[in-house]
Amino acid sequence: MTREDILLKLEEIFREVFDDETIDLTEEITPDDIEDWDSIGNVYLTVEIEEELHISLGDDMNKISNVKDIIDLIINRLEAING
Amino acid sequence: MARIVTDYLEDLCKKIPDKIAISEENDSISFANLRKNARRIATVVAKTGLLRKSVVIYLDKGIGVIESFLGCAYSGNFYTPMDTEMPMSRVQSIIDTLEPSMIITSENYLDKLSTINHTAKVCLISDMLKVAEDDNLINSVLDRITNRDVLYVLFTSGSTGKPKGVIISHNATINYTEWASEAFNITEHDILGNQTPFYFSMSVFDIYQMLSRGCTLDIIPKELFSRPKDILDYIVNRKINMIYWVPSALNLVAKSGALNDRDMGVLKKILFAGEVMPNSVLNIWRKAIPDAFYANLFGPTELTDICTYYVVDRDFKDDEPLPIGKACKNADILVLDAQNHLIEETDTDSMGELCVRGSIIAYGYYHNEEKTNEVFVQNPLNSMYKEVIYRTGDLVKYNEYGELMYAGRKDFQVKVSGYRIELGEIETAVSAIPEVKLNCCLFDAKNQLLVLFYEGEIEKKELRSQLNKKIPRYMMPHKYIRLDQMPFNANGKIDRVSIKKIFFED
Repeated sequence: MTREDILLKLEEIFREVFDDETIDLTEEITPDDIEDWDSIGNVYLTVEIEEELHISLGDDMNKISNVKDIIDLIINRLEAING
Repeated sequence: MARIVTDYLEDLCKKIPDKIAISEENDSISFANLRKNARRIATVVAKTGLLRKSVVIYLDKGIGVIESFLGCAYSGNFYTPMDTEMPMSRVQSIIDTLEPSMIITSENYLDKLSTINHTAKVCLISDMLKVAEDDNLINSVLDRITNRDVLYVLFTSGSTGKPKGVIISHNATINYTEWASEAFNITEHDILGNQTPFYFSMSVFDIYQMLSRGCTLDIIPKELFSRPKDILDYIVNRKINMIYWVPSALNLVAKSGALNDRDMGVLKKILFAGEVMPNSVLNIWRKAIPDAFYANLFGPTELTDICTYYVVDRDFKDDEPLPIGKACKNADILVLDAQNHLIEETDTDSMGELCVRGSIIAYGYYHNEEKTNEVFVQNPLNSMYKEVIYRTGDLVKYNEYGELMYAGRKDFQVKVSGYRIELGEIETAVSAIPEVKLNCCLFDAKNQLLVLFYEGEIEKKELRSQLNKKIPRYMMPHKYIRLDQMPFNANGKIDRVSIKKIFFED
């Protein structure tokens, strides 16, 4: 998956989790930009990403500060799986 | 009023001996023959010298089970029905607790029973029914039985740990039965369509209404409950005018659409208990049969069957909860907060534990003092004399009508992200989504996630979006798992234990 593919997939996930079809996701978006992206929202996001991409994100999702960090984390996990 | 339950049958046999007491798909029995067969069984049991001892009934559901129950009662002993499909490890666990003196069974189950350890005498019902009844023996035994003696011990299907045997007396059964007959105006003209297994406390209603008021108990074949159209045909053909089912059974019929294409005017009284009844389901029934009488009954096995009831007297939206109503006669409700203070009917803000005092309370759990002492406790509001109340573990609050509202199990409450969440509230909200046929929400404790299992033609994304409009965000399930078919346990309720075993680690 390329960064762009991941960003597109994340946009889909964000729209579903936050029930908002108007979200246009960019790497710069932070939790402050989306109303429901607090600690609870982050749990829903984590579960959804893990389920959709078949990876485990664990506690590292608590350390992210924007969408870019999530993409980096996902790439890291995918690389670990694919060698 | 009857002193012990056999008095009911004695009375009916004087008034309506030839009326059908119990019918099955291809068989039936009159009250006179029921009495005769029960007394034959009693004769065998009494001749072995047993009195106030445990007798296990290990038979397939049918007339023979009720004959055996009454045989135990006529012989001054108490019965425990067991599910013949139950795993033998659980049978062994119950037998170890009960240490029964006798097991009544049929030839089919002799091999199965030979695989467990017990010291009981094993009697075949077919042999017992060949024996001539000994009136003198039975009468001498009944002279020694009081209404405080034990009538039966029912084992609860508890979600964890060892099954617990709930001890119920003649007196509790009669008090409950008399209340229900009056509350639902049951007469000998009623035909009651039985759904629940005889090892489940809801069947106490069915069996003892038949015995006390002389209505006919029609045992509906179990396999029909997976074929909604056939079950409605059965009800119409057999002129069943009253049912007392678990909501899951009513749900299957409602969501199948079968109610819309036939006249179900024959059904006059529709009662339910055992699970939360979603108004989305009830509204389908009310629309299809608007003139029927509907009542929501509520209570655990430890209170014979029921402690509160609500006669449906107004309209509800699909996503509104249905009240569980007010106390039955012989049950006094105490709603106690965490400090054991009484919550008054006028207080609609506070939630507390439903506790009950009265004559329908069980004696406790058989051979299990520890568990008994946990929930059958001294009334904390009475320090002057010994008075036992039962703590149900159910959370309730009052609404503006002074009716009790069920707010979930104390042990079904989970804490997620700091919020206290009641799983039942999520389920009620999901039930109101028309595309969802069945659902249950469970807590995956290891991963601290709320997981919604559902059956229905709706994609996860759409379900999530609809639910988002109904419940607060912190109550939203984290995972959604669509099942082709929701599993049910032997009582006809959603089988949460199996789902947990399949989907959750540990």
